[in-house]
Amino acid sequence: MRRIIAEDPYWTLTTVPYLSNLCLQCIVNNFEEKPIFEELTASQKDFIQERLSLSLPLHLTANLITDGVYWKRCCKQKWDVCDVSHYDHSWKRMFFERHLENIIELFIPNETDPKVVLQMVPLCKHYVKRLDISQLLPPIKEPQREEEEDGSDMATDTEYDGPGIEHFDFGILLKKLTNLEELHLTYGFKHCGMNFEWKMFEMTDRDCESLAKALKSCRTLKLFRLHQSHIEDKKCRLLVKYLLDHPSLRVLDFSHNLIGDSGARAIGKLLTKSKLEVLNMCDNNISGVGAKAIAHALSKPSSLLSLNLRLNHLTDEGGEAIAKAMLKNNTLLHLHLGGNKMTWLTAFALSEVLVQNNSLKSINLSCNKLGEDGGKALEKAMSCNTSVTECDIRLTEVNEQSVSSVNQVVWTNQSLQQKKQAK
Amino acid sequence: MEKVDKDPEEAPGRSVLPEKQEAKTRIPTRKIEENPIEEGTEQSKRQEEQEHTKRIIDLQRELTTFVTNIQTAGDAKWLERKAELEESRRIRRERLENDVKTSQEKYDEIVRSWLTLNEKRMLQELHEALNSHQQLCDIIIADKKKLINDLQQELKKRDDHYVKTLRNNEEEIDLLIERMEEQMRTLTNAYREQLGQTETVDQQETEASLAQYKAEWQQEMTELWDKQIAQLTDRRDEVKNYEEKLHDQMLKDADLYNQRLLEENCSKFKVQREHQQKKAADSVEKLLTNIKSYQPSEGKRTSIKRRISGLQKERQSLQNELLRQQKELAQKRETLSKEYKCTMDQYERLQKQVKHFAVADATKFREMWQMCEEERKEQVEKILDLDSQICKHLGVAWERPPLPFMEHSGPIQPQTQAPRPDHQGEEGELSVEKMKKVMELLCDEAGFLMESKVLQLLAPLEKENQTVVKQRALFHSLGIKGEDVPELTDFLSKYKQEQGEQTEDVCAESSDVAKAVETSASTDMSSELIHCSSVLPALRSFLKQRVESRESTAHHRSTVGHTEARDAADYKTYWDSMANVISEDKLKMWDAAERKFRQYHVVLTNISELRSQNERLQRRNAELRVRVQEMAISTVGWSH
Repeated sequence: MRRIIAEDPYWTLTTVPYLSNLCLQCIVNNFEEKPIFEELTASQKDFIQERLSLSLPLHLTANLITDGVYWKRCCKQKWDVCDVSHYDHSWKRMFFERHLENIIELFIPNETDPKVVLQMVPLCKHYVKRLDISQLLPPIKEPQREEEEDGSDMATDTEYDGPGIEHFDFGILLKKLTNLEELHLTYGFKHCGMNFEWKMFEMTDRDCESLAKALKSCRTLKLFRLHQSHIEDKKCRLLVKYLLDHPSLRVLDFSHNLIGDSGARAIGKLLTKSKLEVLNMCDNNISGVGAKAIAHALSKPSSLLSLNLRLNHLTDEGGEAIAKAMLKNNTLLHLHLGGNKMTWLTAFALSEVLVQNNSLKSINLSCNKLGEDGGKALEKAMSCNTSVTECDIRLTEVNEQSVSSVNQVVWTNQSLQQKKQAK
Repeated sequence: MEKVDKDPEEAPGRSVLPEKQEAKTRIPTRKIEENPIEEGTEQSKRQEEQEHTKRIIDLQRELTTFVTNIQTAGDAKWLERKAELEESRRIRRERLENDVKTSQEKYDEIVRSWLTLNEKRMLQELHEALNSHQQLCDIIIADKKKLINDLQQELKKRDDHYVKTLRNNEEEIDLLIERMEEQMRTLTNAYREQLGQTETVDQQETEASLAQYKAEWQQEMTELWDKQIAQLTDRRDEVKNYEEKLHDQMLKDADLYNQRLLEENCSKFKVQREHQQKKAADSVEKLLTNIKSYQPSEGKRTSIKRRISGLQKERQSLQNELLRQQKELAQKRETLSKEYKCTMDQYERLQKQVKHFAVADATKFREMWQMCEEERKEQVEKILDLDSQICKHLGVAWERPPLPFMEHSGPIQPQTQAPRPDHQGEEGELSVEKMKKVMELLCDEAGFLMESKVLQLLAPLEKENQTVVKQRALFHSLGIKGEDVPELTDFLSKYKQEQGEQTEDVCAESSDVAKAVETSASTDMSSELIHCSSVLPALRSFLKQRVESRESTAHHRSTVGHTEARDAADYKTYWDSMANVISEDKLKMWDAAERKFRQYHVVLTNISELRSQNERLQRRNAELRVRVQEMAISTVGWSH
C-alpha cells in the first residue's frame, strides 16, 4: 500500500523504482551465477558498477567489468589512500597493480604457494604497467643464529650464500606480464622491529641471477629501479650482463647501493651498448676510476640524457674525466655531480664545458669544495652560455657575487627557453 | 650543523632579491584584444601582468630554492658524516692494527717464554716463569678487554649519534615538508590572487565589451529597422504607383489590342479576299494552262482518262446505289400501300358496322316507341273508361273526346321512309361532261390558288392533263375529295338559281337537294352553266356548307337520337295530346267528386257504425227483456 502523505512535500513518484532498475538490481544480485555486463548500455553499466558486491571473485570480474566505479569502490575498500593520478586515472590499473604488489610483498618463499601469484597473472596481465615493490620477505629463519650474527659490516655478508635463503623469484612472473613497463624493487623488510639483521636487506647471488634472467625475459620493461638493496660490484656486473641487450630499457636506477669502480665500469659498458636515457647511480661507492669508465662511455655517442652521480667519491680525477668527456658529448641534458669532493680543478674543467657545450641544460655541483676561484671560473663561463637553465652551486664555498651572476645568467636562459617554447 | 644549514639557505635567498627588479620582462602569453580606445589601460594592464608573472616566477624560484636548500644541506651533512665515519673507521682500524701488533709482540713474548719455560727445570723458576707468563697473558687479556670496552663504548656513542642523526633527519624532513607545504600554500595563494585579478579584469573587460557590443548592436539594429521601415514604405508607395500604372497600361493595352485586332481582322479579311481572288485567278490560269497543256501532254491525257474512268466508275456505283434505293423505295411503297389498303378496309368495315349499329338502334327505338305508344293508348282507354264510369255515377252525360292520334301511330313513321340511296343514285346520273366542264371552269377561275411553280411545270403539258393535275392540286388545297366532285357540280349548277333566294334552313337540306335534283334536271338542258364571275362565291358558299354539313353528319352518325330530338316539339305535342285526353275541367270535376264521395263515405261509415250499435242495443234489449220475463216468472213463482 502506498499513500500520498500530504505533509511530505518531497514525496514524488520517482521514489517508485523503475522496472528496468529492478531488472538491473536482479542482475546485480545474481551476478555470480549469471554475469551479464557487456550487452548493457553505458548508463546501465554504471548502475551495475555502483551496486555490484565487492566480494565477487576476481576471476569473474577482472576481464569482464571495465574500468570504472566498481574498481574505484574496490580500491577505496582496500586502501585508505588512493591517488589515482599515479595510475593514469585508471582505477582498475591501480587495483590490480596494488593487489599484485601486496601479494608479492607478502610472499614468503618456501611457505606461500607460487600458484597464488601465478593465478593472478592471467587476470591482471593486461592492466599492470608498473610494479613498485617495497619489501621482499625472506624465508622463515632456520635455527642457526650464531652463524648469521655478523651484520656490522656490509661487505662481510656478501659471500654468504646459504641454500634456501632466497627471496621471491621474479622469473615466474615477469615473463608473463606482457604490459609491464616499470619495475621498482627493493630487497628490504619494512617492519622488522627487534629482529633486525643485515641479511634482510640484501639480495643473494641466486636472487640476483634469477632477477637478471627475469629482467631479460621481460621485453616491455622501460624502467628498472633497484635501490637500497646492498648491490655490490659482483651483483651489479651480473645484472648489467643480462641487461646489455635489453630492447626497451630506458631508465636505470641503482641508487643507494654499494656499487664500486668495477660495477661502474660495467655500467659504462652498458651505456655504450644500450639505449639508456636516464642513469641514476646516486649514493654509491664510485671513485675516480669508475668515473673515468663512465666518462669514457659519455665521450662516445650515446643516447643518455640524464646522469646522476650524486654522493659518490669521484673527486677531481673523476670530475675532470667527465668534464673532458662532456666536451665531446652533445646529447646529455642533465648532469648531477653533487657531493663528490671535487675542487676548483673540476670547476675549471667544467667551465670549459659550459663555454663550448650548448646542449647541457642543468648542472648540479652542490656540496663540492669549488672555492672562490672555481666560482669565478664558472661565472666567467656562464656569461658565454645560453643553454643552461639550472645551475646549482650551493654549498660550494663560492663567492656570493659569482653565485648571483650565475643565477642571473640562468634566469635569462630560462626566460629565453620559455620564449622559444612559447613560439 | 645548524649553522651550515642556515647559511646556504640565506645565501641564495639574498641573492634572489636583487634579481627581482632586473629579471627580464616576459611577453604575456595571454593575448588581449586590440582595442584602440583602451590602449592606455591596456598598457597598464600589461605591466601589471608582467609584474604578476615576475612575482610568481620569483616566488617559484625562491620557494624551490628554499626547499631544495634542505636537500643540499642534507647531502652536505651526509657527506660530512660519511667523512666522519670513515675517519672513525680509519682510527679504529689503526687502533686495531696497533692492538694486533702489541698483542702479537706480547704473544711472541709468551711463546718465547713458553720455550724458556720448557727449558726450566727448577720448580721455583718454573713457578716464577709461569707467574710472569700469566701476568703477560693477563696483560693481554686486559688490553683486549679494554679495547673491547672502548669499542663497545664507541658503538654506544655511534648508536646514540645514529639516533641523534635520525632525529635530526626527522626534523629536517619535517622542515622540508613544512616548507613544501608553505611553498604550496604561498604559491596557491599567489596563483589564486592572480587568478582573481585576471578574472576580475577579464570580467570587467568582457562586461565592458559586452555592454559596448550591446549598445552597438542596439544602435545598428535600430538603424537597420528604421532603414527597413523606410524601405518598406517606399516600396509600398512604389507598389501602389506601379499598380496604378499597370492598371492604366492594362486598359490602354486592351484598347490598343482591340483596335489592332480589328485592324488586323480587316487586313486579314482583305488579305483573305485577295488570296481567294488570287487563288481563283490562279485556278483560272491553271485551268487555262491545263487546257493548253492537255493537248500536248500525252501523259496528262492518260491521267485524265484514268480519272474519267474513275469518275465513271464512281458514277456507275452511284447509279447502282440509286437503283437499289429506288427498289427499296418501291418495296417500301408497296408495303405502305398494302398497309394503307388494309387500314382502308378496316375503316370501311368500321363504317359499315357503325351504319349497322345505327339501323339497329333505329329499329330498337322504333320498337320501343311503338310499345310505349300502345301502352299509352291502353292507359288512355282505361282512363276514358274510368271517366265514363265516373260520369255515369255522377250522372253527367259522357262523350268520347276526339282522338285523332289513336288511329295512326305517331310522327316516327314518315321519317324513316326518307330515301337516301335514291338521292345518290340520282346524283350518279349527273353527266360526266358536265362535271368536266365544271372542273375546267373551276381550274380557270381558281387558278390563283395554285402555286406559280406548279403552273410553270404544267405549262408544257396538254390541256386535259393540265386540268387533271390542277384539279387535284386545287382539291387538295381546298380539302375536297374526289367523291365530292359530283356534289360540287351539282351545287354550282344549283347556285345560279338560288342566288336570288335566301338560304334555306339547314335542316331541310335533304329535301332541298331532292328539289335541286329535280330543278337541275330541268334546267340541265336549257340553261348554261354558272356564270364565270359567280363561280368563286359559289365555291365559297359550297365550302362553308360542306363544313357545316360535315359537322352535322358527324353528329348524325354519332347519335341517331339527336336527329330525333330535332322533332322533339312534334313528339311533345303528340305525347301532350295523349296526356291531355282528360281536360282540366274534368279533372276539377273529378276532384270535387272525390271530395264529395269522401264525405259520403264518412257519412256511410258513421251510419254503418250506428247501425251496428243499434243492433247491439237491440240485442241487449232483447236479452234484458228475456231477463225481465224470467224475473217475472221467478217472482211469480215466489209469490206463489
